[in-house]
Amino acid sequence: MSYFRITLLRSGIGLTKRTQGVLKALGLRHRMTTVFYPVTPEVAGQIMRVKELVSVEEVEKPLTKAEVKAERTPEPGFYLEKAAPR
Amino acid sequence: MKFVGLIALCLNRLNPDFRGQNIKLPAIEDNSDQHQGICNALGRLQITFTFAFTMFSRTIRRSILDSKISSTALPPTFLLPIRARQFNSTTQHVETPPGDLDASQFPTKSPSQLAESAAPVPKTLRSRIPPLAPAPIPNSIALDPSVKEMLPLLIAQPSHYISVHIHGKPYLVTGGDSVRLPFQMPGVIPGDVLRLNRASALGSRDYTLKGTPYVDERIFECRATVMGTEAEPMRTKEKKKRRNRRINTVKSKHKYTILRIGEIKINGLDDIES
Repeated sequence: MSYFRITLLRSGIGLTKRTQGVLKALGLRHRMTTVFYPVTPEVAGQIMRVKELVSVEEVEKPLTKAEVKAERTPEPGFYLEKAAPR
Repeated sequence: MKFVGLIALCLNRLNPDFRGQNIKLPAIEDNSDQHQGICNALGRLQITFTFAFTMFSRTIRRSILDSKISSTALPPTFLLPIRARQFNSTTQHVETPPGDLDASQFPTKSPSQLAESAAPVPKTLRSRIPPLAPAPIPNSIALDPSVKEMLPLLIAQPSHYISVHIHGKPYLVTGGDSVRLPFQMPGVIPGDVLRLNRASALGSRDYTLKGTPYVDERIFECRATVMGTEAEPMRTKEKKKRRNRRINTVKSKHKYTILRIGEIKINGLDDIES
């Protein structure tokens, strides 16, 4: 089963209440939020309503919130090689 | 004396390779100022001059040809914005991290054992310890042919610079540099040796190896020693709301970790693929 990965790229501020309602229904509260929904005609219709604001990808598995955050976090770029005596 | 300082500064500005030498020149200057007579000092100046001239005559010529700014137009080193910070005057704060590190958490074990020992650590504590050594990259992954071709040329040149990324932020350094991180690194104490393994560029005077986005970490070895923390001067900010006389003063004094970059070593092709 595949999922839509929907990211809000442009804010819904200034759009009609109806469009903003669609974003709220999708759970997209602010820009760059990412949500996952199974691929169904209902969700496809919702995406069509806000297609100018979001980017959509089809993925195999939904990611958890923590995984999405880990994707965005840069690597530390260092590790402790030799610890001083403490 | 001043002129030597300026030459050194000029070299430093134009060519990061000569930072090591730059440190030596002011040292000579200091000595002669304090302990020796003027004649002696002049002698030393001459020696310094000839030394500088023979060593970097090409660089000087270049600097004269390239830069439109005359050397007298440059401000003295201590007035450059990066040196003019007041941080150096504040005292060092050395503290042991609150959660004492368990020896079992250090990369003396295999990755699987590490995973086991790291599991019971509570989440709040785990974020306070520095990251552990990643699994080594298998040598079977071959380097790009263009890298193979040019790497010996890069190694052959003397001093190297590297653009290391710590938490995604780049720091362009050479061996011996000290870096003041814009944050206090949790879980480290002075004397700890960190291995820096993410670099976006690695180069010498004529060659640069650019990463996509990072350079293969088998190619270089770059270590940094934690020197301690520095504190900024206390900042106060007055918070005032309209139509209300109350003023709230907020104080803040941040601490920053200082790292000293060790020698940058570039591994040869034999070391990487054997």
